[in-house]
Amino acid sequence: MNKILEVENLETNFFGKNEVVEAVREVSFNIYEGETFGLIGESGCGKSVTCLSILRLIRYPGKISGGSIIYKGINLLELSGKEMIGYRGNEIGMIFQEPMTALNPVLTIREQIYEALRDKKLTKSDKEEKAIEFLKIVGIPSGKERLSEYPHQFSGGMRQRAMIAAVLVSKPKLLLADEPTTALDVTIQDQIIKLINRLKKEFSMSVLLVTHDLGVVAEMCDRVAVMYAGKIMETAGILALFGEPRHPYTVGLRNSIPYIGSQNEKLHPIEGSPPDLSNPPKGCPFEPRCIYKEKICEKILPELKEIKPGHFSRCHFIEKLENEKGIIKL
Amino acid sequence: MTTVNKDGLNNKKKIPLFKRNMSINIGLLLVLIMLIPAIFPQFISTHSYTECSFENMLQPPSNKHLFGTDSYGRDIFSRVVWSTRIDLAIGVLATIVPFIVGSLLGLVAGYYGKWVDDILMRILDIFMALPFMVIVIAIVAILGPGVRNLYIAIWVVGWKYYARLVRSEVLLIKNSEFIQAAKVLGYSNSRILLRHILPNVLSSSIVFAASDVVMCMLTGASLSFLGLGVQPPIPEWGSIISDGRAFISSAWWITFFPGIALIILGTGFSLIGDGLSDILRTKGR
Amino acid sequence: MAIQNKEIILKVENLYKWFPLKRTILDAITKKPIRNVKAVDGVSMGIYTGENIGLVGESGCGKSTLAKTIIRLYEPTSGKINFKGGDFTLLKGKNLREKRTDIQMIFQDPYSSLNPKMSVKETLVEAIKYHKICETSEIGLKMNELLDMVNIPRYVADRFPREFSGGQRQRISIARALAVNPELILADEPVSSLDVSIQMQIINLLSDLKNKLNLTVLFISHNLRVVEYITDRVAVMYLGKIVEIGNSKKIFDFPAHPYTNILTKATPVLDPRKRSNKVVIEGEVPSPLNVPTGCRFHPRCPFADDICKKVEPEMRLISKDRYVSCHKPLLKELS
Repeated sequence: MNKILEVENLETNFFGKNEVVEAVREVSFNIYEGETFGLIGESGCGKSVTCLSILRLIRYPGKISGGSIIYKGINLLELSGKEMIGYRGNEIGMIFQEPMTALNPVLTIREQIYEALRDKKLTKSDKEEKAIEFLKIVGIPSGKERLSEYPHQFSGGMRQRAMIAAVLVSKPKLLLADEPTTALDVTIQDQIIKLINRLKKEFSMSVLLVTHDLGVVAEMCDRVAVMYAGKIMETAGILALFGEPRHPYTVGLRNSIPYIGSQNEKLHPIEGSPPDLSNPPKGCPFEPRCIYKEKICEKILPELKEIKPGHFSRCHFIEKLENEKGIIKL
Repeated sequence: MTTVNKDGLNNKKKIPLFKRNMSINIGLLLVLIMLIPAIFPQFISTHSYTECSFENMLQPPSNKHLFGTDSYGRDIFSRVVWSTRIDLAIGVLATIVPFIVGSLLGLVAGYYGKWVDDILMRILDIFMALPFMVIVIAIVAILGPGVRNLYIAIWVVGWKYYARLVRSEVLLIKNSEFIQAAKVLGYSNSRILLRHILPNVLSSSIVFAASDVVMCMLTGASLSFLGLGVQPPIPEWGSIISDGRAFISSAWWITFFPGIALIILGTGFSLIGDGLSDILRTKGR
Repeated sequence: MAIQNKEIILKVENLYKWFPLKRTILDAITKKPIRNVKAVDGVSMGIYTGENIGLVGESGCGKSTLAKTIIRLYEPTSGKINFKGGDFTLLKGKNLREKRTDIQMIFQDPYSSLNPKMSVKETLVEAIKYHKICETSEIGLKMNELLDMVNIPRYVADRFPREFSGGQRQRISIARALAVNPELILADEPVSSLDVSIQMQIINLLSDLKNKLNLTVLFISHNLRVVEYITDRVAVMYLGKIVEIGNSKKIFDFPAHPYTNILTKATPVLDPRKRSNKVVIEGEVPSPLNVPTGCRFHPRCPFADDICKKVEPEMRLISKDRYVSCHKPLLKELS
């Protein structure tokens, strides 16, 4: 299978007055054609910044300080600003968590979809036809009337669909989805998850899904990378991640989810909180909260090792996890 | 630098106030410098500010008369020094009363809403439509020139800005969860208003007050320039400038030095306001 | 955890909270009828002493409004609230403020539920002092006790909210609520704004505190997994009314109301092998401005009948301690 995106040793920093926050610290992963790749982690882990870095949407005081982002063989970090614009929206599209702030509140839906089509040398009636067609594809039937409306007249779920339509009109090959369902009710989340899954096949896209919700990951992803404190801790296929997690943080995340059916088990969450990235620890960033830690963990950062084909983990004591149960029984 | 200790708390090194922001430092410095002539004019001035001397009329700056003399032979330096406390007083006192009254009105109107708010807003609309300077001049013209009437005139129109600023901030936070929590905890309305709402709504007013001091000072100077404010023989920067109008080309020092004094004090307060605005803004969540 | 005495600590009868829409002068002149947002549209329920009862539903169902109406942050449009046998609905002024200490609330957003200008110490001491919870000489002691209870180290008492993380702020809010020795706590989505690993810390904390202090808790959330984990009973709300109420595990394993069924099916299953392409339900919740006639769920219900369109179902007992409001419940009634 071909790789559509190769991220290698990506480094993104934010420069404050007295400090530098290392949001993304040498992150590497690949996305293959036609797959949904999940980037999971909690707030501050760097997953959103990674996503924005791919599209080079990082502005001062942030800066992509190193690494390479290779999309279909071209290093996006080496392109000029103008060339990059050609990729944004056309080859690589992005949808966001809060559709109210991602859509321009003073423009009608029509104007926003037209804007996505501005390079495409289409007549006005062509654009209108396309807009109505795509609204239908995302599940908004009476397109003609709704195109004249403003984002605040749409509900949350509909705004998300409108945003997906505006992104899809350019038929991107890679869709970056940054927490697309986090702000939605569970029934709407269900609709949007299945919509994205369906559109992915119809449009032959690859999807990078950024989320903190293991449930959404279970419903959508083929492979997943778990991020913590700016680094990738574990990368695995979806079944391996759910069945045989091999990193203490992943196991800890599993313990943080009460899932329907586990009522009488008292779950032991991860103690403490994530580290401050303006002064990242020298060793393993998860060490202070890890129940398997030993002296070496504080001093030396473990490497990302391939423990099984396609399953990588960054831990000195992976063998200690062999008895940990997964969320599912393989 | 922030480090997170094992309890996960931010150990932000407490940066002392004066290191945080250049604007506020320079501003405070300028104001402090001007406080010296304001508090101790008798030790700084070289002559009496009323003593006339017809031999020494319109003398340029010299060792004897640091800022020169005016058309009555009075020493400009001493006059400028003695004016400092007047102008400073005008700036500060003309601001404080509208600040307090306007903020309280805005607080009550914003919190209680309904007809209290409606009445205040309609009154506010009327006052907002009236141009500040024109009304001030009109009131002074009616009541007669003099410092006391100057204060009254500014107080009558000055409160509107604070009422509006505070009212909007109150509207923003009155449905915040911590205010709801205060209600759920059974605190009385007056406690909620004074202890929970008030401290959180004053920041824009305070910043505005800093530049309001400059505005009031200039209003006082302008009115004195027109002859409606401070009356002779009390010196005031605006009236000194007015005296020097006829001699601008021949004796530039009469208008120049009080002008510089106004600029220094005004810039000082302005910079304090700027600095406060930055500090109060970044002291967020 | 079995509920020992089935005493009712809070009873809500036919509670309504409607928010009238503002009308223009033209509307008033032409006597257009006032439209209301029917946030809480006839809720009756009881909470037993010592239980942890959940309240679930999607946004707009009225669960937050219900809690805020019970606690009199909003004045009820009509209906009664009975707390420990006394009428809570009509208390005013000083009487209300005194009784308030018995019911406290924990809010959703830890970033706006603490006064940013007051230190932790000031926040807690204010609550203790205002209600004269203990002697002046013991205030410091009581404050330390509260901090210990929520696992906040004592030495940070002088710090301000901005120096704390979301999870810590939530703990401080819990400490503040506990400072006045309440008996009933309404927790309005207390962990929804927090990271997953922190959520579990706070949930366990609430659980421990409830047991230690013999509290009764109403736990509002849209996250079914969390609610099933922590609660004994649960009430499901849709568009301003309770559609089903009963034992949590039984309701989620065997939902009786079609809407409850939809909610459980829509919650993602944590098993990648069990994915489905089929959407659980189309469309969205109607606006509380335009509540459907009859059963308010009928436009979206796969089993809707004629009677469902015309007649609003009553709340009926269909099995032990299980009530449902539906003409065609998914479970057969026990005779």
